[in-house]
Amino acid sequence: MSVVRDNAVDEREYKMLLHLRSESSVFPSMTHDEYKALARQQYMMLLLDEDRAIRAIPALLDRAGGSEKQAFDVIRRVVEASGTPTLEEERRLKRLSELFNPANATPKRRSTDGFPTEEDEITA
Amino acid sequence: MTLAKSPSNDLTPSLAPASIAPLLSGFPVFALMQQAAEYWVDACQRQVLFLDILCQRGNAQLEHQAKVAPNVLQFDPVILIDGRDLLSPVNYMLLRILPPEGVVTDPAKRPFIVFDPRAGHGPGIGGMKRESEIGLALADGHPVYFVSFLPEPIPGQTVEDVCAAEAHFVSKVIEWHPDAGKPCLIGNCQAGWQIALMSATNPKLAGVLILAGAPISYWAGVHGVNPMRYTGGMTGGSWTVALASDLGDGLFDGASLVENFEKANPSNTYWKKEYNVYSKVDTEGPRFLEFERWWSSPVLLGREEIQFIVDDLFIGNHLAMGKIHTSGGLRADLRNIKSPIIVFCSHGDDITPPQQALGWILELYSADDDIIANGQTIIYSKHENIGHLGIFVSSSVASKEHQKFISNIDMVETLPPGLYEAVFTSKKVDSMNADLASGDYVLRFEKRGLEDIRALGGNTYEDDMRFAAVARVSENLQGMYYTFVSPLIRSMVTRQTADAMRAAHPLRAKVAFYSDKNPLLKNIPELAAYAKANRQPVSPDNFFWKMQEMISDQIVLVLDTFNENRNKLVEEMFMNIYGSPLLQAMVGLRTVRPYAKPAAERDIEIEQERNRRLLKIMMQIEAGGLAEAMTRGLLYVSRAGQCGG
Repeated sequence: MSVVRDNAVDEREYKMLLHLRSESSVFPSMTHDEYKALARQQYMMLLLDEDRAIRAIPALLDRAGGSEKQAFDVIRRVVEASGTPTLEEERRLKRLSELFNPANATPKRRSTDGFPTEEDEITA
Repeated sequence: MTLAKSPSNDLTPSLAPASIAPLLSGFPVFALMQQAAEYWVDACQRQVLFLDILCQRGNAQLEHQAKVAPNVLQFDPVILIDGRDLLSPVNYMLLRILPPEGVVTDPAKRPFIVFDPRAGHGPGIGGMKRESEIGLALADGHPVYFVSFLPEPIPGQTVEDVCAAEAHFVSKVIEWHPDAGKPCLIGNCQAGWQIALMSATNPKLAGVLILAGAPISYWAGVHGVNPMRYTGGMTGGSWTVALASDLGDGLFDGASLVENFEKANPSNTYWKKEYNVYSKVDTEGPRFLEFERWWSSPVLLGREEIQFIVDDLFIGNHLAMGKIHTSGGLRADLRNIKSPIIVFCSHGDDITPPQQALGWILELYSADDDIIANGQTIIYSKHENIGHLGIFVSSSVASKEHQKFISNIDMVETLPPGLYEAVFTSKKVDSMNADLASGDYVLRFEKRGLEDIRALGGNTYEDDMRFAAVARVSENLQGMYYTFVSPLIRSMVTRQTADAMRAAHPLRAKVAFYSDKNPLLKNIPELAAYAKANRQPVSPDNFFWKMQEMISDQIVLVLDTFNENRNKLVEEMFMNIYGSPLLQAMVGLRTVRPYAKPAAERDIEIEQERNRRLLKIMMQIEAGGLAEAMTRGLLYVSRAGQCGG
């Protein structure tokens, strides 16, 4: 499927969110309402500044206790369960895989001071 | 009538025994006579059956009106809170709808509260059918509550009192379901603006608001299509309402509102509705009676209520502009509502056109980003053709739109702020992952902007000035009336004269005329039973029947043409009178500073708070752990295509 999905949120996207929580053992436990609030807030961040929000993912994963790889596999499984990913979805999955598992990343210098490097800007 | 017993060629056996009838029917004149006879027998029986249905309506109505708390609900309700016992008593009450046999509701599931519209008609419309908002929510296992009302208001009750009572009801429901999500409030028609107003001053109460066919921007509409918005102007403003309340001894008769709806569609009111019953007399009775029980049972509104509705809403358009203040000084601004708002409207709705259901978004926001920054989620859905009542009564709308909204309320709550249109796609068309969506349709929320609402069409600067002129003329004339005429009228009116006037209202008189109260119609039930036992319906290709259908179509055409011409004339008069520079200057609209439509207020405090909240969200961008990372990651992928990569 190479067509980009329209500019919309649909039931399937929401079901994907629900799957994310129910399908994986790594997902921290929380109530449905807490999860809804969390999802809404994450959504809002992407809406306000998608790039910054995505680049902050490694910082969140520092606290993940080593289950980053499983976490990414869950995301990929959930996306694929809802249909063959579009080209753009594939591209985003790839970017995520680099963020979740730095070993997958195309070799790049990691800045030592914590500020984004030139490459980071380009991948954005 | 004995002739009618023969199985086929009714009046003709003496002329032609059945055996030779087919031969003779080759002669055109004879065939015509035969058809005339068939038509005649059917027409006689039909008249009797039709009169019988009208009598049934009258009797049912009289019985209905004699009840203390009549309603047309198809469900079993239990009264939980009687609004008459509240601190500021009102004639509203909170009911619990008991699930029908075989249906079990779960108290831990999100409760639904359906609010009944009080716009002249009696209570119960939202649950008149099994297949309705109520029925679907129950079937889905949700506890369902219903806010209904009594036919007569408590003296002096105000719209604000009703809002306070409704807020009390909602907070009680929240209390009773501590483990469930916040309730979903459904407001149909008038109840829609009422719960919007209530939520604007109690923003923390609702989980989700569904406003179905609810008018909020009363000036909005387009030339040549929405004539009802000129009504206020054409009567010279709201002094007529004050007069009606005076004549009603402080009570405004809802029958006048029903009459307004009826006048807007003369071909239906004066012909189609009854002809439809006549032409389908054998099958249409029950449906007609069920509907009429609701339609022809008008209730009463208090003077204070109707004056607020007409002055502040219809003529002043204050709700959409955020200009309503409570008696305590709180400003009711629809932007305060942080729970998602679902607006359901229809292009086929001539009472609440989409512009009136959605115009407030344009009044309150000047840019798309403002909606997001304000944290408000607004979803609208525009039906292509369903009429006003169909939005909350039609089974097809219930099983599609309402069903999808009800089953996706949780999803609505996760939507980030912004403006969306709910789009229903048939699963056949959009089969990708159809199994992930429930029912026959896939529901999706497409991003929309203010431009999309503007594209519906609306008022020009000159139009707005006309409506502003109406508002000022209305104030002036009402002041004159109230000061110089009202005292005189009030001194002459008693409860008895007011009651007599209400009983004589055509809407009630017509119903009472066709009932057992009328001695001329005493034999109708017997005759009807006889006609039913010997019924000989005319065949649909009968020449005379076809003629009758043609004549009926002609009558409809004439009435529709009349309506169209009248609407054109009214619009022209409205535009000329209220567009007149002299009149506008006299009411103070043409001053040195040009007229500007009152914009929704902005508040530095609120905007700073808003920015602080956004900042806070962005400050949390590195807060959290795996759950945040996974959710953000998934949303990032699923948002592909929204941001151009």
